[in-house]
Amino acid sequence: MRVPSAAGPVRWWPIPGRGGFWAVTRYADVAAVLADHTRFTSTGGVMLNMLGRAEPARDQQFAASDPPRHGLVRGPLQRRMTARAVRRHEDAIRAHVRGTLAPLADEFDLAEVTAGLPAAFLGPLMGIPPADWPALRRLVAMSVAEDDPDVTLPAGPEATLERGHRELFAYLLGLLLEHRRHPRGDLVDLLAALPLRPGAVVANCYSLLLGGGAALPHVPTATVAELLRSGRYADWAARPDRLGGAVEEALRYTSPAGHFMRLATRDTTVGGVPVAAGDAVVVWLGAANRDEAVFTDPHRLDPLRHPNRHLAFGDGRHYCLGAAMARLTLRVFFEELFARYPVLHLAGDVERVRSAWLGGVKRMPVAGRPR
Amino acid sequence: MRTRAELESAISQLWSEKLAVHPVGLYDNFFALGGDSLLAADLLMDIYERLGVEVDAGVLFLKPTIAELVDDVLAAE
Repeated sequence: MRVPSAAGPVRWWPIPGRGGFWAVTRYADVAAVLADHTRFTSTGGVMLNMLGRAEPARDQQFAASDPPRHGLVRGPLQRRMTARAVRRHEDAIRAHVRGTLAPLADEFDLAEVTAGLPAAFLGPLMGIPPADWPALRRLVAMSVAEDDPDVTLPAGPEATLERGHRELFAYLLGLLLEHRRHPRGDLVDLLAALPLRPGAVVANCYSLLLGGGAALPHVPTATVAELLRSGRYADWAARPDRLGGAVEEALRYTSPAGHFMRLATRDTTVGGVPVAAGDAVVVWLGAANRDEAVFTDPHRLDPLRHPNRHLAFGDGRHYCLGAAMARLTLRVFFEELFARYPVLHLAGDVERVRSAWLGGVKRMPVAGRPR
Repeated sequence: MRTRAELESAISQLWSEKLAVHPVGLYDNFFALGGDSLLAADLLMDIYERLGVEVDAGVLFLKPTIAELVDDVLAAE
């Protein structure tokens, strides 16, 4: 019998009808769990909304596999996603960002602008037409923020999650068929050529789409929200030379991917607390990224922070496949935003997303005169 | 062009294989019978490759009964 404890860095959270999970918030414990796939498996699903359910994609989708199976899919994808490999997309991403910023009036919703960012690379990487993104983006939101009133269906969060997931699968299956007819040499073609059943190909496309589409837009939005709140936007905008470190700090500070789940494969301990075989262990990346034992003055957004070994992309074998693409996209976005708007003001209330997984801003009216 | 009865029988056979459920009723829901999204994708590809029939993925995932699939195929033909 586990005793729920209100305090402590590793504590048990019961969830009625679905057991519960160990919440892990210290940097060292989070990193230890993510590094050890033999004690903490990804095959039971990696998000809390999978708690207590069988993961149909286990051992088939890279996100829901452990080594060595994990490497069979992850390896080939990884070679296409290195910093060097993604750099060739920089011009296309910059053109997309400029195209998004150019038509804006003096007042606009920054969250709406950043929500379009994934379209910049989902085209080159997966052959997804930019025109499809507005509809897909809603389905992605239904799949990771099913509790948010903007997307929750009248039938409730569970039905929202299922509907979003099914529609995304249907879309991606169509995308796979389209690639079979007209190969593009992108990641979908790469997955289709691996020895995987069609369902597994689609499940991996689903991982790519959610990985690229769900969290990234919230990094710049939540960062700018804090810069405007603390009156430091103009300072950041005036120093594009600091953007390398600033992007890392933005990732640490915002940590939009809030948690990852693992299941303990054996009786073990986390941070000295006993955890039983089969227990769900959920690591909270945002909390770890504000751990005072690792980051001085952790609640301060400091572009000069060094070192900054944050966990916003996770850690271990499942470290974000798209990290290099995300860094490139964020740098280009900040460069273009700061070049166009040296000064920006809040023009309304900042509204945050309601989700157990996604931390971010969904509406943020701002005003500024383009240069 | 196949008749409705031929399509129903061919699709229900593929469906039975995927789910290891027999017999499958025309109005049974694929997901309620134990299907999941990966199996649905496999099934659609099987229907495509073995019957030469392209089923709309949206129908399979959102209205997952044999009756709906056959309606869709006949409407497309």
